[in-house]
Amino acid sequence: MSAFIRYQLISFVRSLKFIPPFAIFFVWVFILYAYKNVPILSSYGASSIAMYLIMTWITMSIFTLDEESEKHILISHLKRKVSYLFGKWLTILVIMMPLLLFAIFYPIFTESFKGDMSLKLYVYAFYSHLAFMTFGILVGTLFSATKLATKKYAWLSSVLIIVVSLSSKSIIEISSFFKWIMWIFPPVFKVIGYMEGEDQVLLNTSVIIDSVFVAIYLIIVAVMLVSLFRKKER
Amino acid sequence: MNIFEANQACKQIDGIMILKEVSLSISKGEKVAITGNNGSGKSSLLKLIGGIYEETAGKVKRFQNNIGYVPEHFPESIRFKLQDYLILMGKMTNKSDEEMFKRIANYAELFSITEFLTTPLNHCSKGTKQKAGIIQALLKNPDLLLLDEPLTGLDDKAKIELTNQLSLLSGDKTIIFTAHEPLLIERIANRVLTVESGRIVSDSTVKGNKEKFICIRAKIPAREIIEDIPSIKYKVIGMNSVEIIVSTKESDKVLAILLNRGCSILELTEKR
Repeated sequence: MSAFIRYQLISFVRSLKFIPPFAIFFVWVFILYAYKNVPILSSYGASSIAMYLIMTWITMSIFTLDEESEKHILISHLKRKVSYLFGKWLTILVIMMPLLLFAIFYPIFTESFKGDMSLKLYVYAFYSHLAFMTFGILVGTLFSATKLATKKYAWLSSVLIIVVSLSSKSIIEISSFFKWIMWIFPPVFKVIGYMEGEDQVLLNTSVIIDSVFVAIYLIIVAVMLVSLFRKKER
Repeated sequence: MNIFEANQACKQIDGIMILKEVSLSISKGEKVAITGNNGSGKSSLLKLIGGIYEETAGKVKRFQNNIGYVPEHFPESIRFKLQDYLILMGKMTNKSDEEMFKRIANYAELFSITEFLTTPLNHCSKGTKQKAGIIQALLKNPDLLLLDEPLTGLDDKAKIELTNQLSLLSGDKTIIFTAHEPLLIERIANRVLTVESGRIVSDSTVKGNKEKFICIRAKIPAREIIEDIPSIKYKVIGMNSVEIIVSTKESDKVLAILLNRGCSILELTEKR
């Protein structure tokens, strides 16, 4: 698998497809911390949202990197079709790590925050970034590694999912009927809902329940994507 | 021993039935050619045998999973030098780096592409890419080698060269290939399947057309004098001895070249 990941990483770098999402991500973070004394949690919330968009973009680029015949050759070497999907996900995780570390530590090194970091804040900052990155990877996978990838509006649809999930609070306010539809979209507010206001994280029951909900949501969607990928590659 | 069995297998893609009621069994070691017109379902049948496609109806059993696959068109956008590409592909399957490097060097020599190893793949000719496609599959040391139109787009010289090299490959490998042209079928296949509109319309065994080979053992004054002889596979033994394998058709020509270049023939044996 490590050879497959190296193959994908080199191919991704040489394709230059990494430049636009990386550039936008770095510019987003630089602008976010252009001013000093910014609140900790809401700033991390904003960089988590940036990660959501960027990881969807990177995932779709990674999954569209190989030609069909190249994919068949790679699958023949990996032996199992599903290893191709897992290999792509691992590649995305490798790409994601420096971005995650940059998003967390850049404001700390530049002393941009109003207050001091605490262990709880670190834990929640990593959790929110990782959750949003995973949302992005799953949305990107849905529109580039399943049968939806062949549809004309795959890229547009993925943006729609991101926009709808980020505006789910306002959509539900319009009509409570949407509440029943919204649960299929990434539960972004179950993560950033706790990142408004004061810079402190309370480890209360509702935070724990929502985190468990997010974890279960991610696992269910990942399992569904494996099965949708298998269906596409039949 | 069968390596593939299909019973009334069908394959449907985007609502179109591309393979219909395929019933077929393939034994280990067979060299099967799949022929038919464009769009008849040759490549789809090849992919069904290899498991790249899975049946939408009927039953299929595959008894091996070590498959080497060579697509009809080698990917255009591969962003590696030929050698780097082969190393990465080899590392996906091979455990020992040393053995893999040795095998890459051997195959590069066999397929006469050693001089292009440091060339980026997108600058290589169609023939070199085709050979790279075959080598990446062979690096897996597959039990089953699937080749989709391996001679497509090659000039006549390259076609003969590649056919010779394929026919020199180990005899116990199961090779299944799609082809339009008689050259590869005559030289390699011992069974021919004809596909029409997604159905196998003919399944014939070819007898006696398998090419014979001659093994020449010769004493050579210098290694360089045999390097430019076309259509041969050779192994240098000791300081000044060489073992050359050549098809019977080419053997007289090769013997004449060797004698003209001051070599002495030590032994001639027939090989299949």
